[in-house]
Amino acid sequence: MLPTFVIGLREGLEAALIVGIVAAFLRQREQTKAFRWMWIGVLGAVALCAAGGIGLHLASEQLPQREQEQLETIVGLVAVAMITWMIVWVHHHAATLKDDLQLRADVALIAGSGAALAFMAFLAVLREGLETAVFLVAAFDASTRPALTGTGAALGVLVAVVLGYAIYKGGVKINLSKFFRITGVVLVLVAAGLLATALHTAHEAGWWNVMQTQALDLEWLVERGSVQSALLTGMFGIQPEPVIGEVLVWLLYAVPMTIYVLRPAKPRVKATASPSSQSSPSLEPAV
Amino acid sequence: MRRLLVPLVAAVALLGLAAPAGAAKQQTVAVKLTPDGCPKPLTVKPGSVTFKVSNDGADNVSEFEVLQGGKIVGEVENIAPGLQRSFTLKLKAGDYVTYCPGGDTREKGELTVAAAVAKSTTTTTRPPAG
Repeated sequence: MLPTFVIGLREGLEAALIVGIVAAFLRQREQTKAFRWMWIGVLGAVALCAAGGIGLHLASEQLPQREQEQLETIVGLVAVAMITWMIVWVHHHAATLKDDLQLRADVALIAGSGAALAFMAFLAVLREGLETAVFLVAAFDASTRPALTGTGAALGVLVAVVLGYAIYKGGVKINLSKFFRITGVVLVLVAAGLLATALHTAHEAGWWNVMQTQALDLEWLVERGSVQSALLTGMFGIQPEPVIGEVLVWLLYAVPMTIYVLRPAKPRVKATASPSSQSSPSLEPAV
Repeated sequence: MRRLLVPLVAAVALLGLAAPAGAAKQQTVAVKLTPDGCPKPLTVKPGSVTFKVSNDGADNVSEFEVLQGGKIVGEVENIAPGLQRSFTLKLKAGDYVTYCPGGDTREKGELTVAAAVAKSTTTTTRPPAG
């Protein structure tokens, strides 16, 4: 039961994490319409994947693994771009976020991006969903104790969904400025992991075949088959045996982006800054 | 469009003719993942090969890949204990590597694709490499 639980958790987290981040972000910016579209997209993707997984099984067809990896690579790269844009957006606005009117103006300015984010959530579920559906079907079809094995896999996916929901809830609760400070570095790590994972799947898709020498041994950290590995691989894309290329892109992304996020955001001193006297001190970096 | 169609049809027809000549028949290889990793060296004939990958209770191995020259030719993931999944590859004659990430002693194994070779190559006793 545990091995299928771990795989279900990892596969589920990769999608639930992105959906949770997108949901919190849309909610924060009061993009109600995009928020609703996002849920329609997510549920639609789940239905599509379930139908696909069961259909493949009924037709005794195999999942086209290479195409699956190609899809994962493309969606992974789009997700990196999206999260990067979110990090930059929040960082850029961190200094003025207390000003509600300013925030609303900004939101209106880029309202179209809400739809793009909603579509991103749809893609994120599609990315992992088919593979997960095929895995779930295989688990319930296991040669030994299929009920237990299948239940383990389903529970893993369920826990992932709950974690995604917790990320969304937590992301909504704290205000955007804190959201940025607390999660800025975490988001950078998530995006860096997605980038390394995209390179990993690009190799499995047959697109990228150089720098494949093992660079590190992280088996001690992400021991295969452990719940800890499911969490770390699912959320931060940490592989037990990362190769040179993966480590390289991880560093190339994570280092400059971390510096960028930790650097205090400069208040935008546009023509009329009009620092009202009631400017609250709450904006000062608390820590 | 029509100009494209003719060579396309011709190509499909040629492929159809060539296929039965090169790939005699469908082969199926049972691959059992163990805590050690990949199975002992495998030998198949060129053509279409279906790998039926199952896991016999190895918690540390859940993936099976076929590589050639550092490129992944085919793979299947998430084979937890008790699970079984298959994939089919068209293989040409040559030396391939099987890769079962996480295996204790045989993370990498051998896969030989050769036409009409006596089946007992060197699958006899191999000393358990440490």
